[in-house]
Amino acid sequence: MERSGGGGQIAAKRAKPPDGGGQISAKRAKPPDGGEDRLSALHDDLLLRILVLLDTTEAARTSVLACRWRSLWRDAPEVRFNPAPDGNRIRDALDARDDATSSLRRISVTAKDAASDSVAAWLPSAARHLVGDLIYRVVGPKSSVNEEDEEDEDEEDEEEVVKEAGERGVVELPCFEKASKMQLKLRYQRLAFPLQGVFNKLTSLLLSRVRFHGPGDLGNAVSEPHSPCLQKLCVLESRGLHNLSIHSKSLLKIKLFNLGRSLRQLTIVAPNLKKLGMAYCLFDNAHRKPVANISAPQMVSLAWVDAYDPQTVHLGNLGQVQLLRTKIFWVYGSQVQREQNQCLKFLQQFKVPRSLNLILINQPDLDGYQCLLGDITLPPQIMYMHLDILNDGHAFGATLFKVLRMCSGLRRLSFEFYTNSDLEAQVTCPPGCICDEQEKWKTEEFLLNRLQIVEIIGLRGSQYEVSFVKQVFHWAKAVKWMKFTFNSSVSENMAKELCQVFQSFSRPEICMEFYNTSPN
Amino acid sequence: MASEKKVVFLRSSDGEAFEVSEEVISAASVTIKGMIDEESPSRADTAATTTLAIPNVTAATLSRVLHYVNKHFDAAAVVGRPDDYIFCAPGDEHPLARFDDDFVDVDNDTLIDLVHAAEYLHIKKLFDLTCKAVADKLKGRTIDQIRETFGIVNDYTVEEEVEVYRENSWAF
Repeated sequence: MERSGGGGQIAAKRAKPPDGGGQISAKRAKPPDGGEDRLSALHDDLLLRILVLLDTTEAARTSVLACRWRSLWRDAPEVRFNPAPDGNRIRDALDARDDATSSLRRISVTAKDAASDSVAAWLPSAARHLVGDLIYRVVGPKSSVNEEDEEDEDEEDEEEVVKEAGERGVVELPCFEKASKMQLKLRYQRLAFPLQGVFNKLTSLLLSRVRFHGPGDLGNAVSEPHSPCLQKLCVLESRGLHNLSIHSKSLLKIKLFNLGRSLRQLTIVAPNLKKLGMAYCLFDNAHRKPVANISAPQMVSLAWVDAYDPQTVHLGNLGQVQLLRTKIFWVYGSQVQREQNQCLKFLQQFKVPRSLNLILINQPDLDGYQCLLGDITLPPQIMYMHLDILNDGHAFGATLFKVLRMCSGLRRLSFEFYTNSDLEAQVTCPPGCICDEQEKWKTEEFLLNRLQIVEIIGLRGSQYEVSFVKQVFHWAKAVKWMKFTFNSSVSENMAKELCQVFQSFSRPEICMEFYNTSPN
Repeated sequence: MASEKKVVFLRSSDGEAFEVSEEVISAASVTIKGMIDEESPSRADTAATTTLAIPNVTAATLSRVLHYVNKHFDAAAVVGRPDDYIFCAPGDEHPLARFDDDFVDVDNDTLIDLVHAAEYLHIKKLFDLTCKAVADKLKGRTIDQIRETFGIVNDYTVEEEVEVYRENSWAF
């Protein structure tokens, strides 16, 4: 066989590659200055570490560099196509692998415009080869295909996106028998689950912006016997899920966030489930009550920012629940709202959670409303509390005082302030507004003697906030650590001023930290 | 201040010795931490300093590596804590991103020496950084450009090369 040792004598006769795509140069490359080829001399593992950092198309092209490189790329433990080429190319890349020499631990594909037949071309190969994680994302025309970048598509018109996605057909998911984790972010493309097959190794499934499409259904696929090892299920911002029934002994965590309030029936029977999070999922209107039947006796953490009615939502035995996050509590409301207070009814199901997360909201206009906080009773044993507060310009000191007064055993407390973005930071409510009627919270003595850590997020520097912070120092005599995070609208100068003000309230033993935006 | 801290000496393959804080190099290099831990019973708390032989790394490379290590692993040098308020904004570049970019902006031989050294010394951050720098030199380049950049000699026969293009035709 004719071989060239780096000379140039045969180069002129070289054939072009069959598809004419890559040009072969007329002369052979010589090592510059007679230097040796130190890259090719690296051992295989090192070269693979480098090749996995390349897009798989680029990695595969290195096969033509020299004999040393011919099959190296195929042993890379990861395949990534960001952005995705035509699905047939991805299939060919996957099928070029030899699973006996190297196992495929990760497939990452980001598609800008993915017709379902293009996805259908490679998904079966992926299912055959993959033993690790699948990450498949569809992104909008303006989004980055960089894997590390988070989607930034908040401004897209959802209906428009859904309509456009509808034209891209249905993604039919094959059964991934060996995959351990799957993440599908489909930008509302329709997704059909397989009716048959077992996801033998699947431990984690995340679905984001998916439109569910029959006949196979999600509940069936994630239940036994189809997913015997699934521990974590997360469904975010998805549509078309009207009925979900999960039966699983392996599931430990379930999170369902924003199913467009279209879920008409939810059943979860998961004897080992530890953590359940639900928000904006259940259908609920004047004619139809929310329906859910949950049996998860081991559950320790429950977030229910969702419709609730004690007659139709059955949460089973909740004796183990220690961490509780509730649906929105409207601090002020009408008599009717008082009677229908879902949050209150929900809270009454629980005896002694150790940790509580409440969302307290004030409407902009409180005229004719009454304070509903008096209806809540919280057990003093609560040790950790997080309050999300949307105050819309109202005074909130009295509100928080009422909540905190019930929880004298608190060890750790955090607040996050939200303000309606339409409103300016310092909007004040009309004179005589009920929010400010009880000034006594500033003078009444009570102590949070066990409180050690306080965190306040989203400070804008309003007078209300400053006087509230002052009171917290006063109430919490044993506090050791205070952490403040300013809203991004707060200028650096103002932040420094606030730091000084807060430090003037402080005591030497207290460690203070300041951040000017929310640290991630 | 510096005199209170323990130091070790690292001797390069070509015999040059470099001084480095024991704490810093232990945090950075798994390999050297292992060597120090092995030595420690015999040293106890004597004043004698340790010299460790690093047979696989030349003085030129070792001095670069230590420059990196001192930047990245000397906690006192990294952030101007603690009295100052900590202001951090998401999206801000890592303070050492610029340093890292400059650090790997070197010729290929130097870069590959650094890859080897980072691998041998088991300094994960440096290993990741240098591997990525090599990958960046491959990205977006034609086959000819890559061959030329790294001095890779095409040792395929014509027939073989055609065959390789054929088997990977999807990639072109």
